[in-house]
This record gives sequence, C-alpha cells and structure tokens, in this order.
Amino acid sequence: MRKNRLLLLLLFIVPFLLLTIFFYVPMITVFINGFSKEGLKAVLTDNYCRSICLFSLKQGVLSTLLSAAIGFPGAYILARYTFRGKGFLKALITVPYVLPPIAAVLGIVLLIGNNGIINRALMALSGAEQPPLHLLYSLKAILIAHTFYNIPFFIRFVYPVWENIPASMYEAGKSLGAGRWRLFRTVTCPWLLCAIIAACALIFVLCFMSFSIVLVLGGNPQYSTMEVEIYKLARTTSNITKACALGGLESLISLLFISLYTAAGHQQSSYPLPSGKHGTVPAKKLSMHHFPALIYIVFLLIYVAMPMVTIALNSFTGKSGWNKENGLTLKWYKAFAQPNMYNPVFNTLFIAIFTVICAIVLSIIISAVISRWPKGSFLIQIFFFASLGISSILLSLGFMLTISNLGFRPNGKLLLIAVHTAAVLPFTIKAISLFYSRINRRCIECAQSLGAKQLRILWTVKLPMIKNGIFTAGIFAFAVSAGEVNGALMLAPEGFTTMPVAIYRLIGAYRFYQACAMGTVLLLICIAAFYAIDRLGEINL
Amino acid sequence: MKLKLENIKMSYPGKFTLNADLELNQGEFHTFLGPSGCGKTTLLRIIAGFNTPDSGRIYLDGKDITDLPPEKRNISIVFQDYALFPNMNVEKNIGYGPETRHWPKDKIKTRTSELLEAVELPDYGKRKPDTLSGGEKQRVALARAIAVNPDLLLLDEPLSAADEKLKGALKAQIVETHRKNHLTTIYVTHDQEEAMTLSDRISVFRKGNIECTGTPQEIYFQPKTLYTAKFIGQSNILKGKVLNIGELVEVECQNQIFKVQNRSYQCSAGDMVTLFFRPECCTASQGKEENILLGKTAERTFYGSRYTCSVKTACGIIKVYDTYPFQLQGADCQLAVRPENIILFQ
Ligand SMILES: Nc1ncnc2c1ncn2[C@@H]1O[C@H](COP(=O)(O)OP(=O)(O)OP(=O)(O)O)[C@@H](O)[C@H]1O
Ligand SMILES: [Mg+2]
Repeated sequence: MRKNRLLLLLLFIVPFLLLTIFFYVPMITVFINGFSKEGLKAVLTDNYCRSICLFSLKQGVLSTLLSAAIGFPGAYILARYTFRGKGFLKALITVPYVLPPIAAVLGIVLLIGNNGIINRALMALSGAEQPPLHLLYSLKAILIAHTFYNIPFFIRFVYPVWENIPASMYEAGKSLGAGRWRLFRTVTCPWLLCAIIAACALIFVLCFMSFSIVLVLGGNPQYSTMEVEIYKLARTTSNITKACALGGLESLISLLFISLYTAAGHQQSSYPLPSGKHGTVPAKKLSMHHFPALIYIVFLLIYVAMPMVTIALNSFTGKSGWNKENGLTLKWYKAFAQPNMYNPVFNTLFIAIFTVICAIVLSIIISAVISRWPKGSFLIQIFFFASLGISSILLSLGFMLTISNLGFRPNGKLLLIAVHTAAVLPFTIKAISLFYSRINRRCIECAQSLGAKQLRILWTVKLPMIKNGIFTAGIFAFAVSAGEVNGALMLAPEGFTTMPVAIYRLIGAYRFYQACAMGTVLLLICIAAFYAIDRLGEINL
Repeated sequence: MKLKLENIKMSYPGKFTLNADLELNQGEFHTFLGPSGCGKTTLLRIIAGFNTPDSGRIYLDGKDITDLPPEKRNISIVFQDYALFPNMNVEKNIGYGPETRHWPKDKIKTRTSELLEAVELPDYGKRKPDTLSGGEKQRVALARAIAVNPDLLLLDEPLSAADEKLKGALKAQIVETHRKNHLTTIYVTHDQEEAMTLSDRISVFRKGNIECTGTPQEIYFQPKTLYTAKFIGQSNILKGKVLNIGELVEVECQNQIFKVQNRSYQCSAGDMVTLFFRPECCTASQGKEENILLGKTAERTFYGSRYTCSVKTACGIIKVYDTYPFQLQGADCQLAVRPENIILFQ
C-alpha cells in the first residue's frame, strides 16, 4: 500500500514538473513582464490599445448575445419536439466543435466575400454590376463566424438541460393553476438560468480569445482584438512588454468568466435529474402547423452546413485565381503529390499524434492521483486547469521570452507539442478522470487478492475500464491540435508548416481552391475523429 | 488453513476503533455477525491486506502475513457487489487468478470449465458480466475467488442483494463450495438466520469489538453477554435480586422466585442481576415444575409458522411461542421455565 503510494507520488512529479516548465515558467515570465509598471503604462496610456481592448469586449459580448438569442429557439425545438432528421441535425451541430477555425474562415470568405457565392448569386439575380454586400473585413464578418460556431454550441449546451427538466415541476405548476406563459416564466426560465449563464460565459471566453477568425476576417487594424494584437506585437518583436501586458489583461478577463462558467455549471449540476418512466416531458411531433420551427430548422441547417459545404464543393472546382474556366476537377487533390501539400498533412499528424500521447499519459497519471487523494483533487485541478484561461498565443509568447533568456533554442516542434498539450490538458483530464472515478475500487482489490501486481492491474483492469475516456480525450486532443493555428504560427521551426497554417497562407495568397482542398482534408480528418467520439460516449465539457 | 489474529487494532480518524483477537481452525466456516457499522468489513479488509492495522499481527498457518501485500497472501475475497471485471467475459473473470499465476493454458481451461460446472453455469463462459442476473454474478464471483485454491476465502455480505428465494439457492451453493474444497471461510453478514444456518462458529461484533465467539448453539442458548443475547433471536429479560446461592441460584423478581442453574456465577446474595430466557423455553406448565408463572395472554401475532404471544405476569410481559393452551386472548395460563434454560447476567 505505502509503496504504491510512493510510486504514484513519484509518477505525479512528472506531470507536475512538465507543467511547471512548459506552462508556469513561461506564463509567469509573461505576467512579470506584463504586470510591470512599463507594461501597464504602455497599455493604459495608448489610445489604440484601449480601443482594441474595448473592441475585444464588444465583439465578445455581441457574439455571445447573438448566439444565445438565435440558439435559444433551437434549444427549445430540440428539447421539446421530435421530427425526421433530428438525429442528423444533432450530429450536424456537433461538427463545429471540431471544425478548425481557419477552415470555417475559409468557408465564410468564399461565401460572403465580394466575389463570394452569395454576392455572385445576388448579382446574377438583380443584374447589378457591383457586389451588393460588403461583409468581409468588418465586425459583421467576425460576428457571422462566431455565431456559426456558437449557435450550435449554445444549443448543444442548453437543450439537454431543457429536456431534463422533471415533468413533475410542470405538473405541480399546472395543478396549481399556472398557464403556459407562467410555467415558462416560473419553471423553465429559472431552471435554465444556470445553464444559460454557463454557456454564455464559455462562449464569451471563446469569442474573446478567438484568433484566426479575427486575424483574417477582421482585416482592418480597427477590427483587431487583444489576441491578434499580441500576435502582431510578438511577431514583429516590436514591443514585447506591451504584448505581455495585453496578454495579462486578457487572461484576467477570461479567468473571470471561466470562474463564472465553473460556478454556474456547478450550481446546475446540483439540480435533480428526472427519474422514472414519466420523468420528463414527452417530446411532441413537429408538424406543418409549427412552420416557424420548420423555418428555423432549415435556417440552422443552412447556416451551419454552408461554410463546410462551400469548402468541399470548391475543392472540386477548376477555377483558380479570378479567371473563369469552370468545371469539376481533381487537380487540387492531385497537388497533394507535391511536398508543399503533403508535408503539412504529415506535420499536422505528427504534432497531433504526439500531443495525444502526451495528453493521455499525463491525464491518466493525474486522474490516478485525483482518485487516490480526493482531498487534494481541488488543488490539483486548479493547478492543471489553469491553462483554460490562457491562449496559446500567450503561452507561445512566454516560450519565446524564456528561450531568449536561456540562450539556446529548443526544438520548435517540441514546444508546439507542449503548447497543444497544455491547451487540451484540462479537457483530457476531465474526460479521463470522469471514467477513472467510476472504476469500482473493489474490482481492483479483487484483482489484487487474486495475485495481480500493480502493472498487471493497470493493463488488464484499469485501462480497459477507462478506455472510453481515453478515446474521447485522445480524439478531442487530436482535433484541437490538428486545427490549431496560433501556436503553429509562432513556434513552428522554419519550413515546418501544419495544415491550418498552410490554409492560412493559401488564403493570404488568394489560392482559395487549393486552400479548399487542404481544408476539406483537414475537415475530413476532424469529422472522422469526432464521429469516433460520438460512438464512444459524450464529451462532458 | 489456520488463521490467527493477535491483538489487531485499527482506528479511523474520528471515533471508530477496531480491536480483534481471534483464532480460526482449518476448514472452519466462520461468520462475523453484527449491526451495520460495527467494523466487520474493516476487519475483513485487514485480513485481506487492503487495510493496514495500527498494531497486532496476522498469522496464516503459523506464518506472519501482516506485512505482505494483498497480492502475496493467497486470500480470495467476494464483495457484496461482486466486483466482476466488466471488461472480461465470465471465463476470463474466473481465469484471472490462474492466469496471474502463469498456469499453463490448458490447465486454466479445465479449471474454468470445472468451476462453471460446479456453480451450475456451464454455458456462460462467453457472457459479459452485465448480461448476468444478480444470482449468476454472485456465483461467478464465487468461482473466480476459489479458482486459485486460496488459503482463505472471505465473503462480505454476498447475499444481501439477493431476494429471499434466491438466497436459499445461493446459500446452498456456498455451503457446497465450502464442503467440497475444505476452505477456511469467513462470512460477513448482519442477518442472524444466515449466520445460524451456515456457520461452524460465529463472532458477534459490537462497536469495533468482538463481543463473543462460539458455535451457533452456544451463541443462541448460552450467550456470554447480554448484548449477544439481545442481538440474536427473541428474548425475555427480567431484573431481579439474588437471594440464595447453591446448586441452584434463587433470584427474586417482583415476588416471584426463579430457580436458575448455577453456571459458577461470581455473584453473592443481594446482588442485582438480569435474567434471560428464550420464548421457546417457556412451556405450558403441568403444575409440578420449577419456576411456574401465572398470567393472562395479552397479544398474539401471527408469523406464518407460529404465533408469538405476550403473557402478562406479575414480573412483566413474557414472550412465548404459542402452544395449545393460550389460544384465547385474555385466557388464564400457567408457564414453566426450566432452571437450565435461564441465564444470569450481572
Ligand atoms: N475509510 C474510512 N474512513 C473513516 N471511517 C471509516 C472508513 N471506512 C469505514 N469507516 C467507519 O468505520 C466503521 C466500521 O465500518 P465497516 O464498514 O467496517 O462496518 P460494517 O460492520 O462492515 O458495516 P456494514 O454492515 O454497514 O457493512 C463505521 O463507523 C464507518 O463509518
Ligand atoms: Mg460492511
């Protein structure tokens, strides 16, 4: 017993040290730099900086409110109605979970750009000479991209809670004479409040820290956010202190909202679950009378599917640049025979696979420690979950700072894997420790009394029992790593391009069709990963 | 194998402390009996090696195993929830111990099928645990535990999840297993009937201590402490004062004199004592016996196989198992209790 505990403690030192070296040291360097007098002064006295901070908040708030407002009816429909294709709709709204933002950006550019599908369709219909819609490079474009991600996110977050409001609550209300509106106000709304707050807090953080969407779709310096500004400052190394200060400020704000998310989520999880056969309100069949709902569903389908469909279709289109020879072709896929196309695929897989391995091994060890030492689990969680509120740009910046102090340059791929691992660790720990905590301790004891040593128990009993958690975590880590741009732009060594970065560069070079082929491959890889998750169990974010 | 627990002590932070001193014979079926929270599981886990005692030694067949980890003790355990490995089928579950010990493949195979035969689940080898009923799981768990021929078999409330009817069949299975394999077995329960029917000897637990140990007959008819007497079965308990000590002890209770067989009690005249006897020891009096009590029948409760009847006497309510004369409520009746059936507690 005691020996095992010692062994576990020794094992625990590994993730502890790794996280200290690869997360806390760089982050503390950033914060020391940022929260210095000069840093704060540089940010607070600079009008441009102030406007960027305000714009970050503004676009975050607007994106959140829009997503919640548009998503709310969707949550209602999914919770209370059944219809043909509901399964498909549910699957579709899970796709944005793993769709790399750069791919979404590409789809949206091709949709709403001046020469995009929508403008061309409008021009063809009205006979106008000029594109009627000028959406790109504005707040509107950013909002479109953010709502594309977060309407589905909101729906997926809220509808299960809505569905699970115990029917007895409504029955009690009805028996006391409450009408539909009163029931909605007095039962449904209070019940959903925590879930909505939690969803909004998380959406805000995601939008507030979003990078590639703002980088490409904002375009104009006036539509820049803190995250993008940190990247620009860091890349030109013009004013590192200012970048650090901005990053510190950004982290503070997101940590604030993450604690709001945690608190609301915690409150929500204390609500009772419905039980028994008549536990939940039965779903009604959607019919032609409910045509607003039907319209909504069609709208949602189009809104979510369009960017992806656009990428996929365009990747088979023969047109390149702005000349107009149309026709179906596979030439963009044939280009994958070239190293500049296939290398990014291998690089992405390389980084993603190592990220998965690191994240899983660390998460298993940490889950084991949490399960053995429940009293300390709170501290451990805080220690390992801190990376939730930290963007990878900031972490990359931290690495660059520490490295410049070190005097030698560690392998950029290693750093990239470290950044990706730190980013996914909170989620993978959560997925694995969820299963780990469900392991029946008496099974382990039975195995022990039958003569099995720790290693054999791990291999034959524990790992098979947390298998689903490992798969979920692994696939999540894979998808995040495969879609990540920020760290890859900052840290990757010369000539080492990942798929998202390649897409970013192809967009910048106006080689949209080649970008689409790359995007389609990336999308397929991520969807395959996500399909596997859905088969293996839900992620509980 | 012989098991010896010597001065085992263990406390949990808080108030609970366990003290145990116990010796088990080779092949004995021993039961830990006691109310919830009295430390039965804790002691079982100490024996299995999952809990470390603060002090004391454990000997298995004369060998000190106190410091051995569970996997080196060769002690098998069956838990209340069976704890079958959900990721393995029945065959793999049963073969887990032998495989761990690197038995040859064909030997594992014969052992597994032999055990499946023995627990009457011959065609269940390929089934996963979650497709089994509670009773089937219990039998697989039992087979898994004995597959390695353990030196000691521990069973922690293995029947508490089964319904009445299934319990009978499973009990028979456990007895059969024990008899066939001559396994020294410790069985934990808070069900006295299970304890009575299965055990060679019973240890009655009270708040972390072993109150007394003995055969079911000893525990039932000659309990060493009042707690044991009250804990098991129905009892009549009266307070009285010792008048006279001889071959029979005379005790006065509300003007009624009881003559009690002297089991070398350490008491003297004038001491206050407690008298104890079982309801079934009260018989209808013929008028000539010792210890005749007069009373009226008060309440009768139907228990299926018998009635329990309360008789109001001068020394209080006496519980009696119904026999012919007391059928009418309020009828006069005469009871007799033989001196050897009464026990005194100080
Ligand atoms: N890990 C623990 N930490 C602290 N106290 C514990 C722990 N395990 C058990 N206890 C306490 O020790 C006492 C004995 O528990 P134990 O499980 O041995 O009782 P038991 O006789 O098996 O009861 P039951 O019949 O309910 O299974 C209880 O008061 C319990 O609360
Ligand atoms: Mg117990």
